[in-house]
Amino acid sequence: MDNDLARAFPPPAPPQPNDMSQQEPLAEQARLAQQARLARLTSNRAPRVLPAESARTTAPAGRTRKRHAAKGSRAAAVLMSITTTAGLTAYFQHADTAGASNSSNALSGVAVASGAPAVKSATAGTTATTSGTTAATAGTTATTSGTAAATSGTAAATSATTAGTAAATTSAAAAATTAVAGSTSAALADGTYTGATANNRYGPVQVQITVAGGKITAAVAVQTPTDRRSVSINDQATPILASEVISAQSATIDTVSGATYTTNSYKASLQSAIDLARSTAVQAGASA
Amino acid sequence: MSAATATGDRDPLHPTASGGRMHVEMVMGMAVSIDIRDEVSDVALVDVVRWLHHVDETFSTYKLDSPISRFGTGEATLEEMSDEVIHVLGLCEELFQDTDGAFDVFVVPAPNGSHLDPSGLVKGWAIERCAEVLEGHGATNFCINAGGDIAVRGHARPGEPWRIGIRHPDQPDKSAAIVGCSDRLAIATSATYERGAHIIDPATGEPTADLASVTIVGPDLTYADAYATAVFVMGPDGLNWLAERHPDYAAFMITRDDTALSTANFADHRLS
Repeated sequence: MDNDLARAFPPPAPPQPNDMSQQEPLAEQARLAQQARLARLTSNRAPRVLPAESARTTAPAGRTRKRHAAKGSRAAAVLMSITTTAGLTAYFQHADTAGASNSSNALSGVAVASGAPAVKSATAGTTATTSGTTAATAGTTATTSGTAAATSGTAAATSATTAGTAAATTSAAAAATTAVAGSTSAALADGTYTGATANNRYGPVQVQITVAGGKITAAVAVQTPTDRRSVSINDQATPILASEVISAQSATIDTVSGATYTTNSYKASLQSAIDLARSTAVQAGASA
Repeated sequence: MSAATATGDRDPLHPTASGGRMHVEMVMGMAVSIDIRDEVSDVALVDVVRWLHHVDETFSTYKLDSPISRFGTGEATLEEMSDEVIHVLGLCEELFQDTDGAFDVFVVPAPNGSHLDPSGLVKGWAIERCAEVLEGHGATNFCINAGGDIAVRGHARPGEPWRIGIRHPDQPDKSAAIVGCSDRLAIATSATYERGAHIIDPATGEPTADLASVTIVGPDLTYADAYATAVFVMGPDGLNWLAERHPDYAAFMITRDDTALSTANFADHRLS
């Protein structure tokens, strides 16, 4: 039916002619860059293998590239065209030889990223359990984890009101369990609770939790440090309680974002059910 | 009857009295749900469907005779490619540079036997163009969901924002968070729970599996889709990369132990 209908109409105009023309310089630039990369790929017959850890922390030059399956003649032609583009060639030679330092320079612009290995393990390794004073009087333990508290092993240790400093090595899942247990057994009073100030390497940080219906519904890091650099870092990643992850029901949503499902898995998906409900509503409207 | 409509077997152009259309097109190996809440002409939906099939013909790495396959396997040169293909490859290159190599369409083993697979960008790009086509036909309130990657415009109902659930990795019927939209927004999720560990870390050539899912929210699905892939590869550090480099995009990340992390600006989009 779709095809029959589609044939009844002239082909659609190119979807975004304006966009295309605006992007012309980009396209031309990209064409050259693409050719250069193809040349590199075809000349890089043996993929370089780096030690896993350094590959992790040095992005572009360290990646192991599979050889592009272009024909030899084409590769030669592309290489010739590249050779004539002196500036570009120089650029890519530089990229090839100095790529590693380039990438680490690029990354070191981000203070947190320069400590990549530490932050990488932050997910599980530097999870901290802090108990806010006000929250504690309500008989609960506020648990937080994540990158904003990436150094909260220190933060926890220096905070007088910290419970469970050893939790710096607690896994996030275990910490989350603590939160769930605290919220269910202690019958929290609704409201917003702010914990005592703790210091991490970016400055003072407080954790604020919101309790609604007897459960922790939000946990955020507040009181951002005064240092501008630190603010931008601290602003970037806000931990969210794991207990929140399962709290939102799907009853009142219009659509679902998720991993790309296949046409088969679509049939069993929540999205399919929503689409069906929508189709039914549309048809009901049509026959009304 | 309605079930057939939802899976695209029936007339997609069924007019409604209450306003709006709902159509699901099976194309590019996935379901594309097109939910329009305005009255639009038949041509609007036809144009969108035709465009999607055109993209499939051009960029499918499953079809050996598609231009992208012929280029990827070396049968055709870049000079033989259309402006459209050049444009997409240019975007891929731009994103390769921008993500410090985390988004790399040349490391993904493609079904056609080559190592060029821009599908991770093509889908978002194509759906963003779909939205432009619909807007060109006067639609102002609609939602296009292409296998979990979404472009939304306007409102779901008068005065009510669209409510977009982010699927919980372990519980297909639950949302880990709900994002609202009452203007224009793109939402893209990269995750391993549907197609396995298929996201390749260009640095190692191996699948990455530290995270359960990464969702990117922002103005343009072309970039949201690619950023989702890149941040998935980068891991938690990707939050800092995104916040520094693209503050107009927000990220919501779920680790394999069900801990959620997000950029601070994700709160601007989050309803619950």
